[in-house]
Amino acid sequence: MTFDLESELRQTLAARAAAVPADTAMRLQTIDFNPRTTRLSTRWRVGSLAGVAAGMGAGLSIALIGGQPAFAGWTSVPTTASAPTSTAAGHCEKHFGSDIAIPGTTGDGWSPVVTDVRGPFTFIVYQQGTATATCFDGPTWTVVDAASGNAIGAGSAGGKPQIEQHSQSASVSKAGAPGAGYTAPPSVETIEPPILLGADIENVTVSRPSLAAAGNADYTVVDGQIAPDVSALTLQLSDGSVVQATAGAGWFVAWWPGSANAASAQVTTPAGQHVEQFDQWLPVPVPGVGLSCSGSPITGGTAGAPTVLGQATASACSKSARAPG
Amino acid sequence: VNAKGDTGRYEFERFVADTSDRLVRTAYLLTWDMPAAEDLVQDCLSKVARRWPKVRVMEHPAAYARRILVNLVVDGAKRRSRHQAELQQGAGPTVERADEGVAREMSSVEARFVLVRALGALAPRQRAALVLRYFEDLTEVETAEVMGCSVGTVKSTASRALEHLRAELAPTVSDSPPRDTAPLVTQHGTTQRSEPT
Repeated sequence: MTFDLESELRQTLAARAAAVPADTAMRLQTIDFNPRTTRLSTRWRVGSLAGVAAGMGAGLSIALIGGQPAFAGWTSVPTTASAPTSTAAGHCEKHFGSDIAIPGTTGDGWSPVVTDVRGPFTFIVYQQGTATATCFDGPTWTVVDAASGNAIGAGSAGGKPQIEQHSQSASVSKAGAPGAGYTAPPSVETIEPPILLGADIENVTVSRPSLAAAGNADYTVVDGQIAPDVSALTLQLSDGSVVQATAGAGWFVAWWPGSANAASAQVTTPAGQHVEQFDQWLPVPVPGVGLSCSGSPITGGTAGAPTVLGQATASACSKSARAPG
Repeated sequence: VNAKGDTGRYEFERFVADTSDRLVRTAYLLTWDMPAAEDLVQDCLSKVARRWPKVRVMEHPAAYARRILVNLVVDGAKRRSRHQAELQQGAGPTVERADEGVAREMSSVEARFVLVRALGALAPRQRAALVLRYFEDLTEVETAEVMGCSVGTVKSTASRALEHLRAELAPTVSDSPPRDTAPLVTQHGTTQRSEPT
């Protein structure tokens, strides 16, 4: 037998390569590498408003949901897509810079980039620099969610650390007529969030997990950015219903009662219309202890002050604010 | 349905499924570090994903990905720095387990173990040349293409790497003449055919 360094080298390298754990490649295969040229961001959330009932059946949402007491007046087609009404804007913007603080920013810097109005409900996406926030204003409540950026709940220093760890978001629930003061939501729920796989379609990107809510008055929100040349976006839900998003200037937002998922998006561009399919939603493990959003929310410094909740990382936890009935 | 978008996505997913195993093994040999290898392949596939419309029509997309991988290693100053720091601190548990596993399978445990460690101590560019030549079984011309250098540079780089390995192996094999290490001494001292020209 003779020593052949090259032969030994081949064997050594092969043996070492064989030592790579088998699950490494499998783990790599689960990563979404977003094979496209334009990366867009979006958020999917599902919230839950208690004290109201919402149910969805098949068929057009507007016909079936419009009479539901939870979101009475909701329409599957936006009522308007212009600037927010002064009332809704007033409800929303008073929270920025006070109830919600984003380090390095001020409350004055938030600008609405898209406003979705469906009957008495207004959903506004705000932007300040790279941070975004949303405000969902209904007849008797307002939910503010700074889901992007470094939002923290100002005046919430006494909150539970586990919530502060995940304080990428804040929710404020308001009861009563505008200006009547706020009450804390009675509960915050942690549920098992599904994750949307392969949702990066050509013109609409859904790369973040959806958050499903427990409760009997769920609502689902999808907002984010779209390709600049997309002028209209209509979502077909998993239950067969159709919801037209408010879209324009690179942004879109849509929401609907219930927890149905978006199955596909009909995209309108100057070239025409086409449908882009979302992939299936798969459940992810329930967050472990310490990541839970459940339990008492962080409350403001004064009685009746807005309740500010921390949001776990998108893949780990979700929260839902329950408005008084 | 936007067939073009869906097709591209599914093609890329198949590409990842087909190539990720080989890429991560190559990356492991290039970096000599498992976590770094996994990070490296993620970076590599992300780059491929961004260029997928062009990559998918290439004759050998996998070769393109391998080239990105090698470039990430060779040109990655930060990774090199981290790698050097890890070498100075000693191999981590994963590496040690792998080394031991490799060594156990070898006919000359000590010599092979030294070889593994010597490979890990090579400069990234030298190790890349050897990995491409002796693991990927590329020719010198193909290796030069992947590394983005001339064939002459590949030859000299590989030659210096092999010289380094021989130098590292010499004390071990000479100190252990019995058994199958004895032939190693003889061959090591006399054989020139393994030297790249």
